[in-house]
Amino acid sequence: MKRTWYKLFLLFLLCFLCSKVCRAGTAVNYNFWSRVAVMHQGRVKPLDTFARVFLLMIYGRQTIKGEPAIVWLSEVLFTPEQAMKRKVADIRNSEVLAALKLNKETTNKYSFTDVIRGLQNNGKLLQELMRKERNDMSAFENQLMDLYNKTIIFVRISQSLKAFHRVVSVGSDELAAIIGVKKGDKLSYYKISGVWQKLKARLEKEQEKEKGKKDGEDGNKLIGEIKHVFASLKAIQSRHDEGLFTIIPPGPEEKAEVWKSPWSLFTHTGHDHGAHGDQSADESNGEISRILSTIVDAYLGKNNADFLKNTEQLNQYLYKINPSKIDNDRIKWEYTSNKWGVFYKSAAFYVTAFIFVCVGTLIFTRFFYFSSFVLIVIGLLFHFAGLGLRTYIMARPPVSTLYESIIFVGAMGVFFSLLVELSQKNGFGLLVASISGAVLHFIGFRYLRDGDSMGMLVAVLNSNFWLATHVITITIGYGCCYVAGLVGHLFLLFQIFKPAEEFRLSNLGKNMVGLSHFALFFTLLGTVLGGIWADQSWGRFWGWDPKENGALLICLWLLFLLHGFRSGRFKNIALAAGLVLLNVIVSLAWFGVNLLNVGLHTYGFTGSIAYNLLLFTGLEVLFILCTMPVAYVKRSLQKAPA
Amino acid sequence: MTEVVKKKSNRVIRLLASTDVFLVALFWLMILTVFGTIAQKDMGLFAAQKKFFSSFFFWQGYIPFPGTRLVLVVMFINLLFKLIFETGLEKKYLGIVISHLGTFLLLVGGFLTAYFSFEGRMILEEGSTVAVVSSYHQRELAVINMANKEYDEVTAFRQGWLRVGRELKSSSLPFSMKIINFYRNSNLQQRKEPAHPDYRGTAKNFEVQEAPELKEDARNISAVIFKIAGSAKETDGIYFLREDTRLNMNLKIGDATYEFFLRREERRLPFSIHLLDFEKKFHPGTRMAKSYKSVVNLISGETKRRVVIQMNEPLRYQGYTFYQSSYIDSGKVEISILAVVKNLGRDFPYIASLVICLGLLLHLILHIPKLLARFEPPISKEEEVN
Repeated sequence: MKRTWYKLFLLFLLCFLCSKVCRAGTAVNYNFWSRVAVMHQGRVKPLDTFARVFLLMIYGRQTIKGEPAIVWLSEVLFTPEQAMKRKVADIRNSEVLAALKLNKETTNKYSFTDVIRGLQNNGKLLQELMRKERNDMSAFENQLMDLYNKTIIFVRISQSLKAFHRVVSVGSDELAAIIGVKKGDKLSYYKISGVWQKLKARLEKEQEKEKGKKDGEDGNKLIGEIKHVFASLKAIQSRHDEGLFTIIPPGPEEKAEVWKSPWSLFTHTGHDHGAHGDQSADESNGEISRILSTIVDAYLGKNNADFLKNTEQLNQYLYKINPSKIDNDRIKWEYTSNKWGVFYKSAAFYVTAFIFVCVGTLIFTRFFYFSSFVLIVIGLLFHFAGLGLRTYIMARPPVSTLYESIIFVGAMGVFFSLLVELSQKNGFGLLVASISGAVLHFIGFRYLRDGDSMGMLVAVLNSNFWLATHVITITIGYGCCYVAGLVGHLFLLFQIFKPAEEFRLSNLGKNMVGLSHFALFFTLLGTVLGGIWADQSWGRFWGWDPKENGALLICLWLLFLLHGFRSGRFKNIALAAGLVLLNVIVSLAWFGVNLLNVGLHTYGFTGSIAYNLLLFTGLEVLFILCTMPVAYVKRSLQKAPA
Repeated sequence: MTEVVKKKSNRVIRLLASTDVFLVALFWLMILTVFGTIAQKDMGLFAAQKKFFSSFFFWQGYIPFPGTRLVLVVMFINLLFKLIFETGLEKKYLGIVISHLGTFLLLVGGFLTAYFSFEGRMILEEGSTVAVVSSYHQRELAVINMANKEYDEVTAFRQGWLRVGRELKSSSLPFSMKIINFYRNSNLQQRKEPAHPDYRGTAKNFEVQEAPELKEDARNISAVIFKIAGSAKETDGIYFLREDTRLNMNLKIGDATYEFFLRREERRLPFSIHLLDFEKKFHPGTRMAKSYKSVVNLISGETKRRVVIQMNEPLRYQGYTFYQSSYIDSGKVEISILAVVKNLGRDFPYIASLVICLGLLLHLILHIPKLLARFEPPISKEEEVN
């Protein structure tokens, strides 16, 4: 019977591990397309990440109804008209909805067709807002500006491949014969720019002929048609965008590190209005244009084989332009890491483990103990694998942004809890591990919305040595503090519900002291290393700046608790309550000081951080107020009979 | 009698070395840290730092509160007495004793930094040579005697001297200056009514008024109003100087011409720095700085040394440290701004933190196995059956 249980568990595990990898593919194979290197926000990243960043920004999630972000981005690039109709713009502010005259949707998602119409009606207000500082704006104004900026970005991306869209119809046999296509065919900007010279010459010739004609004779239809083609060309070109979809790396001889967009193939060299440029550059540009044009056609014609073949070719061709600019291995690993969603998997393991631990207190204790232990270990392996991948992809320690620090603190929390579990073997460590791992993962996922989680760093942070020493040490310290805080919770609960189990209480008490020592060591070392870094880069060890004070406060609170405890001024219960409060102090030092810097304007995400922090603080204080007195009463009752 | 004294002194020592004193001081330090941090939002970093962290006392309304410096002095004394009178040298306390020694060093370093350090900046245009550092926050009233064609004779009074009612005299000046007012931040205004006949120079037509201090100290424009006496009938009178004023104040007194400035306190270095080139790099496609650096010649006497100063790689020379802090790009010339620090207590945090962390590590190694040890519960029969 027992064996069957274990076998079932292993089967479940296997299914879970393979869940995302085996998911049915979409109609078009995006394998190579997702790996096209694009320069964005100072970093070369796969198109897959680019798509995720924009979808997160606009839609608030990395997938739309189960479809990966790259599917959406392709729709925006290849069929912008369709993408405009899709309800993706996330709007939650009712004032913004009212200003745009939109009816509230239950999903809070709206199409860009509607949004653009709404924004156009608010032209004056937007012009005023553009002259205003962000800090002086109200929540409504801020969100309206955000929406406006997102719309601009959406429109810009949607224009990126417009040069390859077939939008101009060939109306007559005569024109078709000049261009070399059939009547009724549709042509793209790219195709027309290839026959530009020919058309221009013909137009001049026809216009010459026209001069000889007398008034009253029939006008030349061809002139009108060619002029119409030229006008369409200009209309398309007027909306070109060169800034966002930058997939063409600079050549080896180019000094400025400027990546170019497909539009630059026309505006920077020969095709533009017939002017001729450098021939080799022309050839290279011609080849990229041809491949891109085929990709667009293949996508629209749903020709999967062509799409796959040409996207692979595009990757190879772009790489050849300047191999030093594209690191294919890193691109591939980033894509793989995205696809696997390692942190999501890790979070799922922790959540499952938490459920198992809880169920294990009721039935099949040994089985659930074993399985939750295995689940947490696997979760931690995924956690570390994700961190390792990030380190490799970015070539820097994985703790340089707030998001990364949250993920790292989570990993440390789980790690220390497992150490506690290994020494105690009573399930407490597992409970703490699963809670700290899962909760921090979920907080981290919310921070993903800020954009690319692998952003570049400003000059002063751009130092791997200090990131590796100071930031890692202090985040280990944070992790340790949270574990100590959670053990503090457990101690208070145990003191209330199982006051008779003195050996367990005494063990938990010793754990609290041990963890506090570890936490003090790491936070103190981390703070001091931070001071040394500040001394190295700014010339002062300590400047009483909010971030420094936050770290100092954690150290001081731990020193207060440990000195009070060691000198016998207070005992286990007070120490436990103090550690619960430590959670609040760490959260305030970690997230709260950021609010102080940004300003306490309650808008967007920062507003929700302030609210969540307040809620968290309130709950923890309430927990202490409810449990501490009861714990004292229970302890005195327990001691009384003796 | 001696017994009584001994008893009393014992009691005093016990009190001074007691953990309770430390706990109270620590608690107060935490409160100061919290309020000092929150206050930065409204007061700005510099003002909040001055009020909460660089003071012995501060006033909140009409009530005086102990500031961080006082708390740190209390902690210092407490720790000193603890170390001298109440520390045993048993093995199990070794880690703690070492950590306490480290903390002691940290406090000493803090004292040296607070009282014996100089912070300022050096502004270097590409191709220029500079040997002067100007302070971030301190101002000075400088009087330059330009009588000698070979050199200028500068007499400068630091900000500490610019207090209302104080008379500034120097053997190098044939006149005295009495401070009528000094404003940390000021506004300049045209006079609406004719000025009192005592007012001279710009003060005849303009007046300065005190303005509220701005959060960013760098944006405050100080002003000083002072009265010159003992020079000559036509030059004796009331003048004002403002930091940014473009109107020079020149006075011809006797045979010499004197130029007056209210400026950031300047410190002349025993060597000079020549900026050869300033370079900045952005992350591609963004305006986000990836790195910036100054290539300079360090000129000391006859010797020249080429040095690169960049983020996280400062130049250290003769007790001064130069950090790449910022830059100005006017389009035509590039200007590099270096932060300059001289700090006697600079090495203390390094040594102190090493000692503290070693002590803590030792304590952890000695005690943690015991704290993490598992105490087997007596296994009940019921559990065995399960």
